Amino acid sequence: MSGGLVVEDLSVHFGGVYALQSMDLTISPGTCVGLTGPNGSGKSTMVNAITGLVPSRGQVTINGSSLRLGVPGAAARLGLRRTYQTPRVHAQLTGVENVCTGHPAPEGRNVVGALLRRRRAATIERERRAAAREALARVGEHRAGDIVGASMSYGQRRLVELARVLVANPSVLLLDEPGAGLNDEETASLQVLIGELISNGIAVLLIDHKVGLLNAVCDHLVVLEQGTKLEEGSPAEVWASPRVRAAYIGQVGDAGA
Amino acid sequence: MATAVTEQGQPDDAAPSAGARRGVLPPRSSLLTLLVGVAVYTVFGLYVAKTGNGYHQTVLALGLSNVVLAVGFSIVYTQSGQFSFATFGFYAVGGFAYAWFAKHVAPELAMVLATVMAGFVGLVVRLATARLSRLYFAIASLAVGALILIVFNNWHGVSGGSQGIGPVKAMTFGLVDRHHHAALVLEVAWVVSAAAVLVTGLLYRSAWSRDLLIVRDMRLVGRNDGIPVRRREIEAFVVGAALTGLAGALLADTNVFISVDSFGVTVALQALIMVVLGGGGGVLGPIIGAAVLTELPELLRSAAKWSGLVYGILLLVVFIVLPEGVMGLWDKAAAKVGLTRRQERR
Repeated sequence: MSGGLVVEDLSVHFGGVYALQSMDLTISPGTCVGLTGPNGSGKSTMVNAITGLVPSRGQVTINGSSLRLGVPGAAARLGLRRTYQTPRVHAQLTGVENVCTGHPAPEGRNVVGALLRRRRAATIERERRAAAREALARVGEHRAGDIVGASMSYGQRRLVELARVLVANPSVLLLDEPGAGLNDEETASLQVLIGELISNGIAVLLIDHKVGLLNAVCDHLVVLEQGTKLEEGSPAEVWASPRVRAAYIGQVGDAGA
Repeated sequence: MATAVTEQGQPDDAAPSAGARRGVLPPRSSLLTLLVGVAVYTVFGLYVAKTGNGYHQTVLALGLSNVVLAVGFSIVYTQSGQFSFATFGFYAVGGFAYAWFAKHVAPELAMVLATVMAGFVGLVVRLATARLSRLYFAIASLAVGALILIVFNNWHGVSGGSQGIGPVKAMTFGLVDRHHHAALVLEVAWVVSAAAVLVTGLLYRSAWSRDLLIVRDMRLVGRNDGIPVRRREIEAFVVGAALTGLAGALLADTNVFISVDSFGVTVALQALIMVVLGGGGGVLGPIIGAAVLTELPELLRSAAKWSGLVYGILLLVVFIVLPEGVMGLWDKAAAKVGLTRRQERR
């Protein structure tokens, strides 16, 4: 039984069109696999399939347990967390409150506990808030702790969302374009943070377009095009591949034609 | 799966704007504030019970029954995002269960049993409809409410059929009937509704209610963060159904008489108007809404045949002027004088 994430023969199709075809992917604990490719190549579809947001077929194993596909929340129970291409933060909740909702402690969160075990709920809630502030500090957004989601900048929402998944101490983390909309400085600190997560033993899937970020943190890159693997290997190998160059820049010789 | 795609595409700013500028939970539980609120509420109620006339007392008691109805509706609708017409069914369950149990056990116990019974019916209903999308659930809930009424219509032993049931035995809670029946009814309604408001207030201040906002606005995100979304939804629904049942019991206690004609889909619409009119994400909004909606028709009695029209126009004007309800106005006023809670502090 190996940890991390193992994806075998994962397919998603909408009508007759395959958005993802027979994907295989393995991410061991403490490593990062980068997933890149043109828009619409199936990167987010893959994350959506693993987290049950789109119907799919195939085999997914998380920390040695087989995942039931098509059930939102099933992957979460096995220790997987994800972020979203457009950051999802509740507009009416403050940063700390948003992060608290990602905390795994169940105390005070069912109706009986909220009414009858109030003292215990209050104790845990204090711990939850402390953990939330810690997670916010970890992503460098302690300032967003007391601002409601509606007043946050785009970059703040990204990082608050990241803090919300980190507070759950996931063992597998799927990051859907965490660098989009961040400035250079923020991207640099994101790079450091992802490095830390990997060295903490988390299996990370990083979807991004930023070559610098991918090269810096990923051991292995997968390039998708039209739902299939175009190329995979170490960053150096992948970027040297003529097929990848063609997909991104266009066929050699096309420019003048 | 269509829902998955829509939710993905929806910006969070699309969340209902009520209370948008505030965080939801105070950093420390403001239990003291809540207790002070309930104390003020109780003192005022007992004052009216002592000095007002029977008519005022009865109207106020009905208003308090409506307060319980509105806070129950707001937990389900405002907080967890489920719209249910079945409210009028649970209201009837509470009312008839109270009237029936009060014949056999102490009325106070009958009230508790009526509440539990309505909550139980709510549980069964929500489990049976768990897989429906929100829109279909709203439609199904209409059928559920109608079904409950049909059952009572034909269950003469409990509902009295078209004749109804009366006189319904009254609760006393050991309070002495010093003046007349109306005063006692008001005192009882005040105690019971204060307890209901306190419980709801505690719930609103819990991590549970915070999770409900995620259930309401970011369902799939919540599930992927490990929140048992369906379970939370069911819990909120059961609490709402139980409170609605309690409101029905208070109604039966206040009116002394109860029949199937007392219940119809307008009950659910009234509850909705109370909640939207009051606005906000707490107990205060529904209380204000219930107070206005109970008193307004009474005040319009003098306008006789025009009262329906005036009522409609007044509501329309209020909704146009106060799109976020009374509590929305309160938030704006608080922001003007710099009282906005916890924004960019610390």
